[in-house]
Amino acid sequence: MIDAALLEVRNLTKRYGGLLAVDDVSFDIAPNKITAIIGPNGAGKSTCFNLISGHTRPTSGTLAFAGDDITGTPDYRAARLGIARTFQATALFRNLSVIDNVIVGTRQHARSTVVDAIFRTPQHRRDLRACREGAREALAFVGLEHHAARMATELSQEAQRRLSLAIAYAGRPKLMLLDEPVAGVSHEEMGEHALLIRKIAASGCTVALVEHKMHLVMGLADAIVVLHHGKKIADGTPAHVSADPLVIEAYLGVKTVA
Amino acid sequence: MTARFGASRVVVAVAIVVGFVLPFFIHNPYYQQVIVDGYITAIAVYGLNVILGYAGQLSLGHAAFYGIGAYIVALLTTRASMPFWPALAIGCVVTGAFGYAVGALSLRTRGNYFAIFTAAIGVMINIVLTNWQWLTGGNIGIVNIPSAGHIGSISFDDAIPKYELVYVFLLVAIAICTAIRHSLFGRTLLALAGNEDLARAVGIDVTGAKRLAFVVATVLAGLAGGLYATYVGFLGPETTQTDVTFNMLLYAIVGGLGSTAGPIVGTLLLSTLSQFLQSFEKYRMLVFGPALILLVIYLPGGITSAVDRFRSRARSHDRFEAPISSATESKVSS
Repeated sequence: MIDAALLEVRNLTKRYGGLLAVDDVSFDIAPNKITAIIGPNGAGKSTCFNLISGHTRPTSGTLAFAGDDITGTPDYRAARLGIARTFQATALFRNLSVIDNVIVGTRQHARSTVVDAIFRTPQHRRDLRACREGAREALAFVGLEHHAARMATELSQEAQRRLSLAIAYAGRPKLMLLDEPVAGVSHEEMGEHALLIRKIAASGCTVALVEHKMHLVMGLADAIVVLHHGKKIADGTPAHVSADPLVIEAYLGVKTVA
Repeated sequence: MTARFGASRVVVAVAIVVGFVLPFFIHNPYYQQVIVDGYITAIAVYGLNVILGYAGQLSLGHAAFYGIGAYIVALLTTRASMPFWPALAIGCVVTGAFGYAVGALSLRTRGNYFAIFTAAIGVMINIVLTNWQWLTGGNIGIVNIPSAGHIGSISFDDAIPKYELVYVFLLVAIAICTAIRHSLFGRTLLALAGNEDLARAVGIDVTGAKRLAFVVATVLAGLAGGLYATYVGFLGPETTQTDVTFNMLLYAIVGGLGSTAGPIVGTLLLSTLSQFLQSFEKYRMLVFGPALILLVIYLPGGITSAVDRFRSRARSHDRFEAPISSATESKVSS
């Protein structure tokens, strides 16, 4: 690998009581690439994302992001360092308008305080303007710029998915973790969503995604990490991974002769 | 849009002016007192609106913070003979500091913990104020609390300046809440109330933001308490009882949680209504209770939400198109 990894996952382990949800997993996420984490149900994919995003603390193992150790960094700090994420079920601020959803996504870069807010200082006005502009750009990026004033809940399921992408993208992250980004998206619109994910990567934001739909992953990912029962059983290019006998066994349940 | 915005500005301006001139038309001191009591409570309810209406955190100890502000102002102006204004400032700051400490202890976890903790704090403070005889006067309380003195030739011992003093602070409280509502901080609070996990994921220090909201809420409660002490002139521990908190919650919810006009509408309506139902004595709850149940069923967003609903009905409900192709038609350049 020529480039240094953007994210280095080393011996990552998460134990829930007697269950090893993630068991000694190590892999790299290369910058400006799309990395997919796949595996059967219960393989530990979402737990792995929760550990990387700081939502959950690992039992052991280390995470290094852009060369810095971020093990145990809480989620909101990880977000400020440039790790954005989306959730499996579309997560929005349902009580806010579309533009306000995305403004909240940009807010981490604003420095004005509650005092600035109360006295409506020039600093706050500048921050609000910058956030609104950032939010407009992110909305245009996902094709929702004409719906800024609507309530988030007025959007269709598919458009809500794009809004959740815009919220994450608006913070100008270095790494976006997408947890099943096309769940609930119709078959016809899935191809467009894949293009949108590719557009995110092309804009200089590294993408890591968890996904069940193999045909989507194979066409989209530059690299694949396969988890099974919390362990990594393979990683590499799509072609390499799909030819791996352990992967075939995990997915098809075929016992290979030892 | 612009026309409606302009119209609502006119409504607000008229309401402000009406508020200012009201005591020149209502001479009955009893009515004046009912209104000013309503204003004072409304200031505290605006605080509740920040922590509950915006940040979605249920505080069940609001009357205790109201009481802290009231007792500090009462004690400083009587025992320490301090003038009203510095006493009020100290009252607000100390109440806010209490709020910070309570928030730091109780806002780390989510859910009901904060509500239970603040309820316990409320009861504790009420017990302390009732039993700390030498400081608070116990059940007898503190009497002869001086007025705000005078500014130039305007004496705050007179009815109209007394009214205007509270009224100006009410406007300040409304201005603060409105400014927060439309700020980045306000959006942050609404966002974390709506989805805490997502708020964290976009870099919001959820615990810190809630704590800050609680400080704002408690400062407004302390301000209201300080104004109450000087307005009424005497103070007892019953001002910090849990049913005072529940009344405030009721006013906030009936008015409309999170709305700018909700606290003042809810407080004035319910507090004057319950005053005028006094003659029914305990039977007033027979009217009050069912009326509240009907309100919660038909207007769950509070009275002010009826106005919003009426307005949004004017908006078109056309289905809309948001084709994803507009985002991807340029394809990927690289």
